[in-house]
Amino acid sequence: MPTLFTGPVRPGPDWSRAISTTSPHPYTLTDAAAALRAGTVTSTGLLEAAIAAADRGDPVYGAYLRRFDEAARESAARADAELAAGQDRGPLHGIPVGVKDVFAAAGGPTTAQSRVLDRAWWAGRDATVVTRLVAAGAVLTGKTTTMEFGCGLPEERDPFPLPRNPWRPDHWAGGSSSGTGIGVATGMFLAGLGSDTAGSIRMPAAFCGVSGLMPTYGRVPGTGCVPLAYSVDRIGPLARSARDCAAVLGVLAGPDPVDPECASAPFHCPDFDGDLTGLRIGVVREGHFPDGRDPALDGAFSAALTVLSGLGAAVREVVLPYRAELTTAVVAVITSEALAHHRGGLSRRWHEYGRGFRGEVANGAFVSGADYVQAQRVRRIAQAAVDRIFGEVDVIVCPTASGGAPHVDELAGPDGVPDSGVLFRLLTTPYWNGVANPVLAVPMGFTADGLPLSLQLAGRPYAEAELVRVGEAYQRVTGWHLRTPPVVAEVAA
Amino acid sequence: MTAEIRVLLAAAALPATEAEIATLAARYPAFRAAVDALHEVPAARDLPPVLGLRVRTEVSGPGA
Repeated sequence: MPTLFTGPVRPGPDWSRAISTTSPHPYTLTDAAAALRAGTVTSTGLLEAAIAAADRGDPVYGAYLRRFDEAARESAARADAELAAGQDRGPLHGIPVGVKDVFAAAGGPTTAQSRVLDRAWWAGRDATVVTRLVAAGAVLTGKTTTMEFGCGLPEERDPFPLPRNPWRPDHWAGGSSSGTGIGVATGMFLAGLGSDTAGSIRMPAAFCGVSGLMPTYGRVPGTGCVPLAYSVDRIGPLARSARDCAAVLGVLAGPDPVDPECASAPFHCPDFDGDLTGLRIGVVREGHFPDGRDPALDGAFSAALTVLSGLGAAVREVVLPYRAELTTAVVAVITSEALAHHRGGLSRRWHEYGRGFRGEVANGAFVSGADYVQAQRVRRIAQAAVDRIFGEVDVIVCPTASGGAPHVDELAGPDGVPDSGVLFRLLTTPYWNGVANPVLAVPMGFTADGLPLSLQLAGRPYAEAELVRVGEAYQRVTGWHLRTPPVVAEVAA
Repeated sequence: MTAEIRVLLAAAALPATEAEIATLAARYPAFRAAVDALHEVPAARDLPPVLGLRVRTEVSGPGA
């Protein structure tokens, strides 16, 4: 039976009890798609492994708000029959996929992990991106956890699961596409949908040790997606590999007559041989290696650059223009646009929103109309300056965060109120939300404590294929993206 | 500072708690300074704002 978590606050997990999950084999979407066509695995088999992983892991990690087990079984059986009959819908056909609960899906109500959102919102309908997944034969496994409306920080006191890190459950999974990151890392599905307004695809990808692709602004339609900030929001995939992300983006991208922000830009990704000869890579260090960073970060980043150079890329240092100003502009724009969307609700139902969400969005009240317009002007200046850098390099690389996922106790300040300060000290993601460029986050090693580190690859607008080329080449050599949390390995053994 | 925060929150009809007001007031000076700095970016002087990003779709290289 589908379940929607609406009950009272749950007690914390008992870590003394062994928690295990299983993972569908093979691990990557791409490998699974090949195995389906080779007849060595079925969609039903992939799905049952995913359901088993969710049965065991979800009560601990908090990946799902609602599961679609029975509908998914019907979809998987249909996919198996179609593939057996020679009807091939493409690389997602028969693949278990999770959907962040900000996207409407006919299988159940959308909550945006909030007590406030009207459960009748888009009820019985699919968001455009969900429609495209279904048409491509993907098997929707359920709706995954998020931060409230994609913003703020979770609390144990909230009536929703607190997303925990698959590598260390006393740490956070990242957000706001939390459940999608958890689900990919623990084998609850092979790919999933996320949305990114300040890092919400790249952060959980980084903290959970998987890949995440924030596409070019306007590449993917937002119809049927609960908005956070209209001029910033983007929709994209999380999956184990860069190539997996490309497969999903190929389904998601393309014009939508209902979404005026969506460009007529379908995505097709060619095959690559792993050779990066001739590629020019810009390396960002300034502002990305703060005091207090994880001790493993420098070595992991240097090792990544060595790998990319060894594949033939020419590496040079670059400086991100307007780094501080653009980050401020992003915060001003997000809080203003979010407050515009929620002011009426916050005014009438303040205490029904989570403290994490309202504590962030209230900052929009401190941004004047002139501030908002100026922030948008700064975004335009920064875009032009970033474009000039991309006249000299093809891809820009930098760490996604200066450390691993924070402990769940670090998500609140001394007064117990959610405090996003820890995130702003860790993350370098918001800068790229101020411009339109696509960014791919890929696993880059581990902290000494066993938490994943991540590398960001930024490209020119609509040059996602270039990012996949680099990410795939890197992953062929490193294999970090194939590492699974210890709990997965225990059961697989 | 707290008084200023109360005025701004009241103007937006946001019924924050006393603890939340205190937290917002503590963070406000740094936020205000950063936002004020946006108005000092020289290159913005004659530039119209972008209220929805529009980027060109021409692209060269893989996937074009």
